[in-house]
Amino acid sequence: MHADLECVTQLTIEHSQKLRNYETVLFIDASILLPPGEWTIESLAPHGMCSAQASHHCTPADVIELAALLFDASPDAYLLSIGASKFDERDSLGEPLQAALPNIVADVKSFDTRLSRKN
Amino acid sequence: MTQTITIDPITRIEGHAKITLHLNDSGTVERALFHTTQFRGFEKFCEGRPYYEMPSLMARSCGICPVAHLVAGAKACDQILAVKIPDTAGDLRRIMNFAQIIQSHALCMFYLSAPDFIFGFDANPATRNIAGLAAKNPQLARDGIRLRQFGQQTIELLGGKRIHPAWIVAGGVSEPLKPDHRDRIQVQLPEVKDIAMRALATFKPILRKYESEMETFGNFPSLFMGLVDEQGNIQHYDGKLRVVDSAGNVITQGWDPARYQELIAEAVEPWTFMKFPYYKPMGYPNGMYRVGPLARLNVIARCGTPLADAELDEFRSKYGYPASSSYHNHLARLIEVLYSIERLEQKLSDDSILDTHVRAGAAPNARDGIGVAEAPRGTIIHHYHVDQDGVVEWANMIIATGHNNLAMNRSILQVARSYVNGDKLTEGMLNRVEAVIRAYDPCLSCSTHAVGQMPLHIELYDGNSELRDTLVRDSA
Repeated sequence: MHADLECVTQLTIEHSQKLRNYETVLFIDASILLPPGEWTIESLAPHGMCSAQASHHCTPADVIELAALLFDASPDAYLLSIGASKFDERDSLGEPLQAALPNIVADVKSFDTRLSRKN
Repeated sequence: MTQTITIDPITRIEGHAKITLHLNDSGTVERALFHTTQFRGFEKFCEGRPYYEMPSLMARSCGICPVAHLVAGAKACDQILAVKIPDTAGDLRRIMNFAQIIQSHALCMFYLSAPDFIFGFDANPATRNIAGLAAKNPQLARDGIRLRQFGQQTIELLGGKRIHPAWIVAGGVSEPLKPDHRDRIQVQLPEVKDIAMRALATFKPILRKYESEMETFGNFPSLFMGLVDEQGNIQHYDGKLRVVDSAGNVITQGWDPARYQELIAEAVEPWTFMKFPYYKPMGYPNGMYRVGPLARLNVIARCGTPLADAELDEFRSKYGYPASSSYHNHLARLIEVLYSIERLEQKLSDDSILDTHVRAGAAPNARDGIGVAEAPRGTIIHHYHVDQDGVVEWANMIIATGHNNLAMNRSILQVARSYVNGDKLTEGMLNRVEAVIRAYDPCLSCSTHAVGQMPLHIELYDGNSELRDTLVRDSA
């Protein structure tokens, strides 16, 4: 399976256009809602709501919604949320996240395998 | 009685703003004040830094129009070096500035302002936004995204990244344009030109529908200022300053931007961190002037490209010369997008743009450098004073939104007097106050060097200076 990796500090409206080119999209984002070191993978789908009001802040769900609305693009989309506690510039990973990282990477790799089987 | 109304969606301006409206005893609006309440002090913390850091350092004041700051900063540094930069370097800077104008104007028109025009100023704010626009008119939303994407991609192809590229430097640019990058930009031009023409065809009749807003959105006599070339045509990169009065008379022309301090002074008020530049010969506040897309169309003779000139003729035939309502900034932006695309066609079709000699080298040869350029929002001025080693001793920036400060305050007063009745604020009033500010496409981050996306806060005071009502738009 071929995959492209893009790192961005913010999702914008323009990212919706890129989704035209992909069958599957995995958003990976830090979360303040989960305890540090815990992670979840959830499925995203267009749901008729978009919270994007301005130009430079979209949630993954917004991007999915706009992709469907504007570009008729509905890739399989997932959000990997990783609990974290340190968000300052140049912060390194905290201990709980550092310890969990190998398992998170393994989960992403198995996720990749699951997708390959599905496709 | 004080009542607080919280309105969602969030504001669509950049920076921290508060508006206070002051009523007289009969309940009509007497004063309207536009406050910016944050201060970053960019000029202060660049003291002690070497001159060559200044373009990139000062560009950090804004993530919306960093290219304009890079251009003005680099031009100031060119003066400190006392060099004439290679012609190709100048053209490459121009190309990046045009790309910036395209992406910034697309952002303002399609993302921020179009929802007002498509849904109406009294529409439910829950749908009066870019997402609502996408649902109602997907083609229009796609066009806006495509135009902005083109501008950003062009900046990236030239400078390596879309925001804060460190490519425009003292003495020129850091790298020549690669032939394949030229090709990648050129191949997109027919498509984006079609989009610009389609946008003009779509928005012209829509903009004409809002006659009341046209009459009250900053529609008053003022001066206009902008850069023009030797023929009096539009200039965004260099040229001389021209000022016209409200009757269209040229009252200053051929003014060397390096002498800006003889032309412009800055007043301060105790209720805001944003200064009030004014046209010095007329004093404060009579010397109120406007800059930006409308001002540029009002100071120039011609654009100098066929399609933009045809639009300029139509614009002037419909709205007069000079057009006085700041509402017309919206249409002026679209004309400038078309103009910028036409200029890109011209610049990129000339093979000299691929010349590899793109930077002049020298040590500091002058103690002062003054760089002036036209940002999407209007004229910006960077002035650096360095010591004998090229270390910055002080700096001064006058930014487009600052130039427009007097006019923005006057515009809010005009809208408030037209739409506020009694001691109660309404949703429609808030929408229109925001919209008149947005007509200037203000960047408060630049002009006050404030940070972040902050709430808009409106307070209404009665004749006894008692707070009667408040409207707040929360930050994200």
